[in-house]
Amino acid sequence: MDVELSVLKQSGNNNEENDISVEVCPGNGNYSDLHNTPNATEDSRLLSGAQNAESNGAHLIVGDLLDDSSGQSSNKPLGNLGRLKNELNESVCWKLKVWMLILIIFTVIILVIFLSMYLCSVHRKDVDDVYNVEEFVVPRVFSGNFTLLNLTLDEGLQSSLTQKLTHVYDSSFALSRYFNHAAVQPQRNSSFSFEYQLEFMMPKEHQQIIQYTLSKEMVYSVLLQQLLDEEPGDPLYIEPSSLTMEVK
Amino acid sequence: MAVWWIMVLLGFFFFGKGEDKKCDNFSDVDFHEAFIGTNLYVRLLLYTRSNLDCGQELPHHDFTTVPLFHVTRPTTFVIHGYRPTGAPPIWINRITRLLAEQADMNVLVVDWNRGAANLNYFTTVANTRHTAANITAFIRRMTDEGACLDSIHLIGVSLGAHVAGFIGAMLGGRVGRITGLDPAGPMFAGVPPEERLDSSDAQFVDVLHTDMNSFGLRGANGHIDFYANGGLDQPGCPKTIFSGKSYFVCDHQRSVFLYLCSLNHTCHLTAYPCSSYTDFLNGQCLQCEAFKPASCPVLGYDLSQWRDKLLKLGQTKVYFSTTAEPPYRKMSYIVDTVTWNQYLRWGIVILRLHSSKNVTEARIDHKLLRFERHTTMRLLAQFDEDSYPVQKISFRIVTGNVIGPRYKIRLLRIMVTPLDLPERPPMCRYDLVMEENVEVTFKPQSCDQSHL
Repeated sequence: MDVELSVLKQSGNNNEENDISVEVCPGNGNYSDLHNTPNATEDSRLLSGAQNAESNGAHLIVGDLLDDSSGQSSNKPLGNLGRLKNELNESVCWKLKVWMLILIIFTVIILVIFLSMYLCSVHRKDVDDVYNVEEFVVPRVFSGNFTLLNLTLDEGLQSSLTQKLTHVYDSSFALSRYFNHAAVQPQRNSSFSFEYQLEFMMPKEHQQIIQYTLSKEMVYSVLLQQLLDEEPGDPLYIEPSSLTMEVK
Repeated sequence: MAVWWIMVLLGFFFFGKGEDKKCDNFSDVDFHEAFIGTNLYVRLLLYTRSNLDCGQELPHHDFTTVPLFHVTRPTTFVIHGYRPTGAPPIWINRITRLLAEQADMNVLVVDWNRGAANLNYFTTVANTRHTAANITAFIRRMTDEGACLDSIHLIGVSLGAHVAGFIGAMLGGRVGRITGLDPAGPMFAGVPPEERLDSSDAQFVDVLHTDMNSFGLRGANGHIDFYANGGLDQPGCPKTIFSGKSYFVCDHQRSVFLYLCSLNHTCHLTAYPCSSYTDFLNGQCLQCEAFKPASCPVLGYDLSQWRDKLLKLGQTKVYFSTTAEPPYRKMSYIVDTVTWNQYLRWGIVILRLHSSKNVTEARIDHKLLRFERHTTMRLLAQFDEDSYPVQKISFRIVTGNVIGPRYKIRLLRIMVTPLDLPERPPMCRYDLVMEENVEVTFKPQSCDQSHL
């Protein structure tokens, strides 16, 4: 307590320069005798005196104030930098220096952050993409008619149309996993009109699927919106308004 | 012929000049007078289709001698509110003109500016009772002369709404209609119904709320209460005091501007019966089964389609949203989505409609929306501008996840239905997959499946 009182008394006589050196003086505490003697020759006497008198944190300020009263403040910044350098060069264990340790800790923290971000974004399976086709055993069949806008008497027309339907349902996000096959046949009385059949396979538990995913509305609309998006110039262009669909 | 025209023009000029001289304008009280305080003096200014812009002061007693005043015509009283500066309300000429356009009637502006212009609000509040007594006596004399209470309509703004309420109460609630435009809140909050405007004051009371959180009165006061934007803060009104006077009056005054706009038939503001504004925004109150075959109530002068039903219901709260500028109407769509994701997803929605002319955007971010498998998620998307016909729709679900995997949201169907425009068919799209925070744009198609 006595020492603290003396600090207050001393500080009253000092100006702001003293405050600048306040941060530095902890450096004076333990190591000044070992590493910093050239810079603090004049101080050393006073410092050692203060250190001897004290063993807690407060005494350092005492040393500092005494420092400044000796008129050495202009030499301080250089000395502080040097001390900092020396402290960073201190070896912690083996040949590991303090600055290395700080650098390593920083690198590890950054690595952990980026690694976890990477792992989170890449190594994840979308549960909605996981399904087992072998579980789909119950068939659901749709059939209907459509009319081609442009008549082309092509041999491969039937298979092209089958491919077209297969492609529509194979590329559907919701329906592709259930889609099994499509078949197209020309209608007997008209060369423009075709009959088609779509087969989907559902799991045993399929009440919800029938109601939502494989509802007539859904299966019909997926095909219809594809047809509506197409250009009428295409030889395989199916007239959207001619499309009908029934559940078999 | 030219001589004739000149004579007609000159005649108009002189006649007009003569009319001008007789015009009785709304009292203009100087600010220093308002500062000292004014004593109550109630004037009645008559406007009819014959004198749309030139008010004529009506004597309180010998009004039968005024040729413009036909006591048997319907009469609408316009009662203003507190005037702290004493300046005439800026909307007074517009409201008289628009009311006269609605029907051939007497529009009587109750000018109690001397009495309302007091820096001391409490004095003005005390004057409301005296003003009401004055007008009640006048209406009684009118009925003595053959006027019918059923055809009397009182439109009160702010404190004026309570004045109208008091008049109605003094006449035993037999007045045809009272319209309250944001009834004043200070000194009237939490008081019993007889000390403020309430539904027993007239045969039919309709109220519009725009500023319940400062100058307006909270709660419901009429047979139908319209809450613009929930009745709280209005879009386009300043949020900070740095905007000066408009910070204080903008929300409160919006009630008058909304009403003027609806009188003008430029704003078609449909309001939806609901228990709260939040429920309305959540799209839970977009049907008006109770009013069938009429539509949902539309703010304005003519509420006759809904009147009987509203009286039967007793009290109805209706909500609507507006834009910041006239015509105030928002273009609304109901958006229904069905997802098939195995796990629940949460997010806000940004919807954009593209037409050949413009693109409008709506952010539905007042709460996190819940996308649950095989469950219809309904939301109300309100756009400041109309984009029609819609050629493309952009849909984005924002989850706020920045780090980590981008989840996919899988839609079986999205259905976008214009609200209140049965002539515009609903738009649908099926089988969509979108990553969170990524916009997906599609061409809508008809939802009509009736031919199947």
